[in-house]
Amino acid sequence: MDRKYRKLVLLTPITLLYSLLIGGGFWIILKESFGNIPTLGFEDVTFSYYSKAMYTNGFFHSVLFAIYLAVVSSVLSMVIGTWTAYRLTRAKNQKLKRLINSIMGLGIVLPYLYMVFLTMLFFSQSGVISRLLHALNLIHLPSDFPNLLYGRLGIGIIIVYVLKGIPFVTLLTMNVMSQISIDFEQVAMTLGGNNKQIFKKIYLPLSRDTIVWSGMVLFAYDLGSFEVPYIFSNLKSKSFSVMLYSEYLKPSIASIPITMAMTVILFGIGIISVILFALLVRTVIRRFHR
Amino acid sequence: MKKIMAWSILLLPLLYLLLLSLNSYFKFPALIPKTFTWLYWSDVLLKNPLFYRGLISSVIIGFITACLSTLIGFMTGRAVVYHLNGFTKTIAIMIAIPLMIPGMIMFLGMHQILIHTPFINSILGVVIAHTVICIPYTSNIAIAYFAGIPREFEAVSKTLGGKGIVTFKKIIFPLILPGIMMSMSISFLISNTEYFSTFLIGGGKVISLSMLMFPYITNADYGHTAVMGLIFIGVHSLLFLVVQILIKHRQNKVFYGGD
Repeated sequence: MDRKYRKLVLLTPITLLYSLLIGGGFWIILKESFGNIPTLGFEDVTFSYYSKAMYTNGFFHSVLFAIYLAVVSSVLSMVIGTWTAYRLTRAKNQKLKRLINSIMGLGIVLPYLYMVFLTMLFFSQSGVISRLLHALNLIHLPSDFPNLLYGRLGIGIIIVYVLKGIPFVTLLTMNVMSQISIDFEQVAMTLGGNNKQIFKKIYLPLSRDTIVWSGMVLFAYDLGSFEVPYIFSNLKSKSFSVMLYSEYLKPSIASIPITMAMTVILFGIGIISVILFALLVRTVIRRFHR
Repeated sequence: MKKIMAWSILLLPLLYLLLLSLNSYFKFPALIPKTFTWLYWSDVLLKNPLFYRGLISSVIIGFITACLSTLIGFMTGRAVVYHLNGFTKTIAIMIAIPLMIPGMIMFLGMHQILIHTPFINSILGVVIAHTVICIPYTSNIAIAYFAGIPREFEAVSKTLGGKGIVTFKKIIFPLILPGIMMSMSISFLISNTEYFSTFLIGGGKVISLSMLMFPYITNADYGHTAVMGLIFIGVHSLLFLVVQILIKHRQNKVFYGGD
C-alpha cells in the first residue's frame, strides 16, 4: 500500500503537466477546429473548416518545405555527428579531444537565434566568407557570391540546423560510444578487421538507438522551429511554422477555426512524419551495418 | 594541422564577434575594421534600460525552471527505476512526448490552456512552459543516475536501522548530486535559449535575453547583436565551468571517502 501510494505521488507532477498542458491544449485546439467556440458564439460542430484549411493557398507547399528542411538537416547532422563522435572516441590525442569537446559545448550553449546571426555573418553575400574570397581575388562584387540565405532552397536554414544539430548528435552518441568496451575493437583488430569494419560492425550497431533517438528529436525540433525560418525565409517558400504564426495573428475572428484546423492537420502530419523518419533511419542504419 | 583547424573553428567566430562589437560598420571588401568604438558596449550596458531587466528575468526564469524540472525529473526517474518495471520503450516514448511534437504546435496548445489561467503573460507561465520541454532531458538524466545506484546500498542502510530520510541524505543524495547539477544546468540553458515560447506565453510582458536579441538580429544590427552574444556566451560558459568543477570535486569526495 505504501509503495503504491509513493509511486502515485512521484508520477503525479509529470502526468499532470503533460496531460493538462499538452493534452488539454490539443483538446481545445481540436474543439475549436470543429467550430465549437462557445464564448464567440460558434456552437455547431462541422468538418468544413478542415476542407477550407486544406485549400488555403500554399498550405501543402509549406508543409513539404518544412519536411524537406527537417529531413535534409537532420540527416546531415546525424551523419556528420556520428562520424565525429566515432573519430573522437577512438582518437588518441587527448588535448584535441578536449578542444573539440569544448567546441561542441559552445555549439550547444548558443541559442538557435544566435546561430542564425553567425550564419548571417559568415554566409551572407557580403559576409566573412565572401570577403575572404574577395581577398583571394576570386570574386569582385558581393553579388558574385551565391544568395544562400534567402534563396528558394532554404540553405541558410539548413546551415543553422546542421550547425546546431552536429554538437547534439556528437555529444549524445559519444556518451554511448565511449562506454563500448575496447575489447571488442581489439578482438576485431586481431581478426584482421580494418577501421571501416570496426565502425560498421561494432560502433554503429551498439550506438544505433541513440543515433536514431537524437535524429528524431532533431527532426521534430527542426520541423516546428519558428525563429530560424522566420528570419531566413522569402515570400515564395516559407516553412509551416511561419505560415501558422501569421494565421494565428490574424485579427479576423472568423479565421480562428480555420487556423485551428490547420494546427490539427499539422499536428497529425508532424507526429506521423517524426515516427516515419525514426523508423526509416533505423532501417537504413540496420541495412548499412548488415 | 588538425589542432589549428579546431582552434580556428572555436576562436574565429568569437574573435569576429569581438571585432564586430567594437565596430560593426566596415564596408564589403574590408576584413577587419580600421576604427574602433566603445559605443555598442556602452549602448547595451549603460543606455538600454531593458537589458538588465532582461538579464535578471532570464536568470530568474532559468533558475526556477531548472529547480522545478529537476525536481519533477528526479521524481519521475525514481518512480521509473524503483517502482515501475524498469525503463521500457513505452516509458521512454511517454517521457519524450514534448520532444516529438513540433514545438510551434505544442506551444500554441499550451497558450490556449494558459490563457484561462492567471499565469499568462507572467514569468510563472513561461516557467511552466519551459519546464514541460525540459522534463524529458532531466528525467533521462535522473533515470541514468538512479539506475547506476545498486539497490543493495539502500537495503544495507535499512538493515542497519537507517530511516528513510537518513538513507536519502547519506547515500542517495550524494550519489545523484552530480546528476542534479547536470540536469539543472541543462534546463537552465534550454530555458534561456528558448525564444518562441517565451515570446508567445510571456505575451511581450516578460523580457528575456533572447527576446532582446531578436530585434537586433532581424534588423541586421551586427554591433549590438555581437555585444549581446558575447555576454550570453560568457554567462553560460561560466555556468558550465562552475558546474563541471563542482561535479569533479564532488565525485572525488564520494568515491574516495570524505563525508
